[in-house]
Amino acid sequence: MTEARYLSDSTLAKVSAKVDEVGKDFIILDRTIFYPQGGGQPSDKGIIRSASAEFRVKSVEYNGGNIKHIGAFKGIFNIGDAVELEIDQDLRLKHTQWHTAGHLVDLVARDQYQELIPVRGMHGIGKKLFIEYEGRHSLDTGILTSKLKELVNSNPTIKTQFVSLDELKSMANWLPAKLPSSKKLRVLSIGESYHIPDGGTQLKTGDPIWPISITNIEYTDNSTLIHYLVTQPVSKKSNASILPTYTTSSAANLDQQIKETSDNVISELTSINTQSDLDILYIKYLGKKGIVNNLMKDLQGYTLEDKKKYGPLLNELKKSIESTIETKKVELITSNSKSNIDLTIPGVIIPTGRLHPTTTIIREMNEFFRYLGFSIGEGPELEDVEYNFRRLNLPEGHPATDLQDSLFVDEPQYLMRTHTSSVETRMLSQYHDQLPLRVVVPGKCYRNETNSATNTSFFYQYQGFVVDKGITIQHLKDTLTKFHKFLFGDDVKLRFRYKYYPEVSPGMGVDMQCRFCSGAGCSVCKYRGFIEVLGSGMIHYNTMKACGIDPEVYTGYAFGMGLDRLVMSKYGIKDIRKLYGGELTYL
Amino acid sequence: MKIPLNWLKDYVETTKSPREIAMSFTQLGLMLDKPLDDTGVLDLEHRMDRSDWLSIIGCARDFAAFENIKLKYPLSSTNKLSKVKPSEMVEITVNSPHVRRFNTRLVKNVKVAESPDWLKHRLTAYGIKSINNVVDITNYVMVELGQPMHAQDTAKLKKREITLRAATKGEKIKTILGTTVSLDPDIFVLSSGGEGTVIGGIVGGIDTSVNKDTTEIILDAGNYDQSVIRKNSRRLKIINETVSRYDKFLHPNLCEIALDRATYLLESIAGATVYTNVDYYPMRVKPVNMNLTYKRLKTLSGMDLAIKDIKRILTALEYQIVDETKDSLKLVIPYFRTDVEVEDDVVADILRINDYSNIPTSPLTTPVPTDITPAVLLFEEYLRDLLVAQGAHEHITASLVKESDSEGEILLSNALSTDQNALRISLAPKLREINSNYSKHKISDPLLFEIGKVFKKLETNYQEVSELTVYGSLDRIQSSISTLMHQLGISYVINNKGEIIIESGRIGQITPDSYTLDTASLIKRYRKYTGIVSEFEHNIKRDISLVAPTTVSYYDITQIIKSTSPQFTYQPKEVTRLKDTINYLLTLTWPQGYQIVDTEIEALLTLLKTKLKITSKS
Repeated sequence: MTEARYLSDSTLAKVSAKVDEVGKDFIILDRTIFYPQGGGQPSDKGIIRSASAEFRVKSVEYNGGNIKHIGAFKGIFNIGDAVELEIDQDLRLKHTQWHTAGHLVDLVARDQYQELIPVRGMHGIGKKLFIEYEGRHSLDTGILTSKLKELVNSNPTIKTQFVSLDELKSMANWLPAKLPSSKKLRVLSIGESYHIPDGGTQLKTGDPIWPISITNIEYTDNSTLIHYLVTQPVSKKSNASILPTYTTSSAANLDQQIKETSDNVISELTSINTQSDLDILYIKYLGKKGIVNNLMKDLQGYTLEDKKKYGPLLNELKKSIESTIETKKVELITSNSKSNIDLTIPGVIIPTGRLHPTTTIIREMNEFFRYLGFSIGEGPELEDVEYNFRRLNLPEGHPATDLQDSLFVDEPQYLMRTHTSSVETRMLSQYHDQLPLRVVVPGKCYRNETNSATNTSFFYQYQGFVVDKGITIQHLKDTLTKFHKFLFGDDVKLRFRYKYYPEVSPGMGVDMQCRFCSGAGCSVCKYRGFIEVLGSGMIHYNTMKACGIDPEVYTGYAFGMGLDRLVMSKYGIKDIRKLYGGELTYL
Repeated sequence: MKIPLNWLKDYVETTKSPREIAMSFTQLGLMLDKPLDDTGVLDLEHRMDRSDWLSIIGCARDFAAFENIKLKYPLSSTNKLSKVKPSEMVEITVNSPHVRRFNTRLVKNVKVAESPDWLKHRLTAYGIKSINNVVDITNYVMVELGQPMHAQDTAKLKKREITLRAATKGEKIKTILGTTVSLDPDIFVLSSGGEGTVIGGIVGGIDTSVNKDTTEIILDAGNYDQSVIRKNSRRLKIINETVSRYDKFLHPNLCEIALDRATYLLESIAGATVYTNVDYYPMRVKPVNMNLTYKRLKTLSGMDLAIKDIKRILTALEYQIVDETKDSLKLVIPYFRTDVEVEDDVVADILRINDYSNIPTSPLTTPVPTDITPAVLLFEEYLRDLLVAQGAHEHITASLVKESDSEGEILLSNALSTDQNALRISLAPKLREINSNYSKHKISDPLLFEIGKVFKKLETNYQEVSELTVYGSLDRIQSSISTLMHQLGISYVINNKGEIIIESGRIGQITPDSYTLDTASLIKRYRKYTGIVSEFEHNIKRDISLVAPTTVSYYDITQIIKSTSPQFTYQPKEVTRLKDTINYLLTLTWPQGYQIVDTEIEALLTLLKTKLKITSKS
């Protein structure tokens, strides 16, 4: 059984209560100020808050003694929880105005036409406002309108009271049938002679009554409907008794109002300790119908000069209140250990995909070389020995072209490329008359080996080459130094030494000082102090010629490195079969 | 190459520590390969170019040049040797095209005994077992100068002659190690009286080997086609000190020099008398001249080295300077430098002896060339990003797969394993394997993808194309392809064969567990700036509810819509598969201002009913 507090005091905007029952989309309390739809009046809306949760009330139903709040949960309510109720006061005020207006219309109509027997009133349900009477009657809207005006201007007494059925009978000149006699009835009384049982929320004597007009008379087969309209005053949207507003709207006061508002916010903030209180404060000041917005709306009636002056000031006020409240919010979260928010709880990870580690490293490298003006190149993996060996200064019979090390598709002409240098000869040949070139080539290469922890039948290489006039080994050293600083950090120490590679002359080997032992020798560097990182050199005279480039005019450098070891060390993968086989999964 | 430091110091005087010596070798091109230990032996990585670096003297020569110290040559026989008497001559016949030189000496009155300690120690330090003084001397000279030699006991020869010829098929030789090797005509042998005694350039036979009873030997130093030796030794799986030198390009001159050194040692250690025998050397190799211009040195290195330093280095490396101008030097390349091909190699010599650490760095300053990155490469990176955003994981898998008998599959001609004897024709099978691995780890319903090359044999050539394959459950791949194509701004249909079709034709295929797209075709239709609307058109749509027989595909429905109402765009909002029917809720939209919507929907529904027996609830 819910105690309906709105019956005794329809001006209550807030109240505390306890949770009696919680459903999928409803909540029932031991008491409420929410008006359930009935008597032609729509239900209230608003919010119910507990210490840790919130329930947005969308509609309210009267249900066999219980008042059911229907809406949406944010958080969990338990039976017995103490809750704070707050109704949407503007909506309530509108409903109240509609309802009382309906009775004022009814009073005037039945006063004027004694034969009218009311059937029902609609005070806003489905946005309809009318009173329905039995039978078809000819009514004069002009008379009704002027009588209504008279009545409102007479400032009639309006009150609700609880009386017994007998008392009511003695007071009223008309009553509906089937009224219960066992309990006191709530009765709306307007003036001396209008007394009618009513469960809705009503205005009180002295409350401002919004302008009412009779719009039209509608007839059904057996009834007459008086439609009325209640106009919400523009300058006063809120009832002073429910929401605080500033009654004066003269610009002269605005300076002071801005200052007061700002001061009030600060002083009210000091006493706020919970997020929900802060929310209430926010709505009060910054809500759609809050103080600041009202001030802004009031501004519409001012002179242009005032608008120009106060518009920015109000905007500033809004911003300053916003930031003060935001600061307070963070303060509450961080300082209030009993805060409802537990920032220490981990969230649910949103599933996303992962790039292959090799792709990631290739992208990093490409990004570096793109910055230096390199293009990215590619070429076939199924290659012709012409590009894979011959144009790289590897004639038939050269030890590096040993058949058993290469995977042939069609001996001796087609094989799976053994290095990315084949792309170099292809591109040098293709662009021999469109020099200069700066290119890097990441790519899959093949070797005739069975799979093991350190070797697979394919591997990734990263090749780079530059051909231009005036390229020297100094440029090569510089590029490689910068590249390794990019990959390993500024403190990387490189060693450049002569090393033979058939496709370059002079050739250059590059080692990196072991980062684990700083060159002293350890198991990681196999006690060499240095780790070999790549091979490089000046593109061979014969390679240039074979690709159609005059080596007396152009020079170039090239370098090539294995990517897999680098990827494995960066990702901590120990077995290359895991890198490229099915054993690699992403968690 | 292993270098016992004591041995090295026979030729160079240095007070440097083993570590410092190793560092110098590393800089000049012989990187320390194995960790330094206290055995006094350096193990240096040898690249295949420099055959002279398979000798201690060759390494010492470069070290001396690098350190700018003097190189001391070992003692050789300087006496003019007598020619063997015709009656004692061992006839030499060469019937093999692989022999460039075969120089022989007859060694008489040899006293086979244990080697002196110094000799034994040297060989042991290097890693060769001491046998007897004669065998040890041939091995010693091989390590010292790089020329393998062979000594045979003349008493054990079938006839007093040696013929170098192709082995006969199935011919067998028992090697000095005691194993019997079966030969074929690709391999050449030394033979005597028809009987094979030595596998040419690879290993000697035990039958004619020198032992304590030997008094007369025929000593040979040969020079053979290195590629033949390499091929045959790999086939026979015999890799030894002899092979590792003979499979490099040795100069024929070295035969003579090595025999002279061996002669000196045989005389002084084994008390032998040495006579010249036949020297088969039909095509004398002439010295090679080369010009070095200072300009070329500058072009490649950007450095200005002093001419006196250049000359000092070249002389130390035993280049002969035969002439010079103010811009260049005319050089004779030392005979042992069979690796020097072009002027740039001489530049390399100068730079490495000058030490690569002394080369400065300088940044690229020439203008940045035109970007020639193929658009498809960048596009593929974009595809990767889009798929990762869908929650798909990228994999890279092997291109070599087990033969599957698919049409157009390319087989490898020399694969080591039958598991990897073909090139992949599709990315899907490997992804399927990987998917099962996810299930094994209880990761359910993953979406996997790979972008990579697939290979196909066409009538006249090999085709290699880059494909994207996305693998997963039907639900996931269907939403994946729809999302992907939506983001790429490509309109497509999937026909009843599962072919993915765009305006220009087929660009891929969908199956119940994967879809594949050809990236090069995809990029042609891809619209870069799509999916963002700055001004909304009307937002009126119409949902039509269709009940179709299961025999009708979505594609069939779209074909009808396309034929009657090309103005409509449509998207299935809900698809419910029931026992006998499939229910579609299809959202139709049309261009702003399009008027005859109602009648057209009416007509469409009628047509769907008559043509496909589809009823509509709306």
